[in-house]
Amino acid sequence: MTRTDDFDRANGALGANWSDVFDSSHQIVISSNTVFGEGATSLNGAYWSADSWTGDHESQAVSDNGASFSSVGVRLATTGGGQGYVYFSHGSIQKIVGGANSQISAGSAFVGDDIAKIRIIGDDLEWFINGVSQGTFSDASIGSGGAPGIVIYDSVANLDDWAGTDFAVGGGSAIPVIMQAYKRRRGA
Amino acid sequence: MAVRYYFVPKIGAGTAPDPFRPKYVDDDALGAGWNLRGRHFGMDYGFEAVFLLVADLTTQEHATLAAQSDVTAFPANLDATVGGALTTVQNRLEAAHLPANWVTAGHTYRQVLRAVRRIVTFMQRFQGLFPLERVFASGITLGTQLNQLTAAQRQRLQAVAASLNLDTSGVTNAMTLRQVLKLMADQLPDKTINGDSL
Repeated sequence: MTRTDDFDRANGALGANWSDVFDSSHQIVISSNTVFGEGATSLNGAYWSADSWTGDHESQAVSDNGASFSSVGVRLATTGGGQGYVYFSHGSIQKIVGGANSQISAGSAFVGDDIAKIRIIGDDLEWFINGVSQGTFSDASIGSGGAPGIVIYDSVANLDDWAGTDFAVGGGSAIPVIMQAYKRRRGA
Repeated sequence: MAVRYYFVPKIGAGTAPDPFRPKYVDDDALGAGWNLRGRHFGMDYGFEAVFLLVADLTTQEHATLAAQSDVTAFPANLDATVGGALTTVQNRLEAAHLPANWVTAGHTYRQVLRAVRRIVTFMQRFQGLFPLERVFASGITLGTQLNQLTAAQRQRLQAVAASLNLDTSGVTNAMTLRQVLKLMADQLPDKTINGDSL
């Protein structure tokens, strides 16, 4: 199962397919057909809630302006005030548990027009830029559940052309899907 | 380059720009040009103040990191026995709330690291399930018996065990947290970490 969103609609809330990871004061909002965080210097997040997800899924999006701190996230849920695993644009792979961020690794930053992706299967995380694996590691904190989505720390960084894929429900990488949307939007 | 394992202090404020992370992994943390990007991974121990750091370092980088007074480095040869370092190993682990009275001079560092990795896994799951609770809350130590915990604290530990499909039939209320954590950890399967089966 793959779900996509190009955010090409009116400015404001994401709509009925999405739910807040944190609270209604820290939403992901649409502006000029891309998405930003609502609050400055705070975590803003949304996960795709129109479908049920197994724990094994991935989340990816196009980095639009390349600013810190946008991220794609997996196993995102409201538990404990918001939790999940995220790959931030400044290259930090973090888990969010109880509203606190802990870094699992730090590697390459992703910049404008890069496609960032994070995947979790079981306890194994893997993160990618433009389909190239940047690293893998395990973390047992969030063992199941949640959904793919987006987390943005501030109101400056933005993302576009999101896709989430569930590997247990007719899954396969969403890279081809999102690349088609990206090329269409950029006229390529 | 070689993958090595370290215990290092936890730093950070728990925010996205300043996350909790292992000390010394930041750019320039140990001098200009110090850069471990893409070559390190950290396993936190729940709310405790340490990280198990896995890093692929040059000989010089390892020497620099291991020279820090608050860093404990595992030897490159994980199949070496603990030997004369037994007291040091036990003290370092127990200071981080990691059970270590089971370690003997005849154990290899791989066996020690394997147990540590599993205990860390248990504690990570605890934090994920109960993000606002601490196992080692005020007054609770490795020597605290289960019957000295509240019912809610015991139930949390049981929920973590259930989440990891662990058998708790051998647990008694007279057991210490030291014993329980080791008993639970021993049931977890090995995990391949950068090529090492731990």
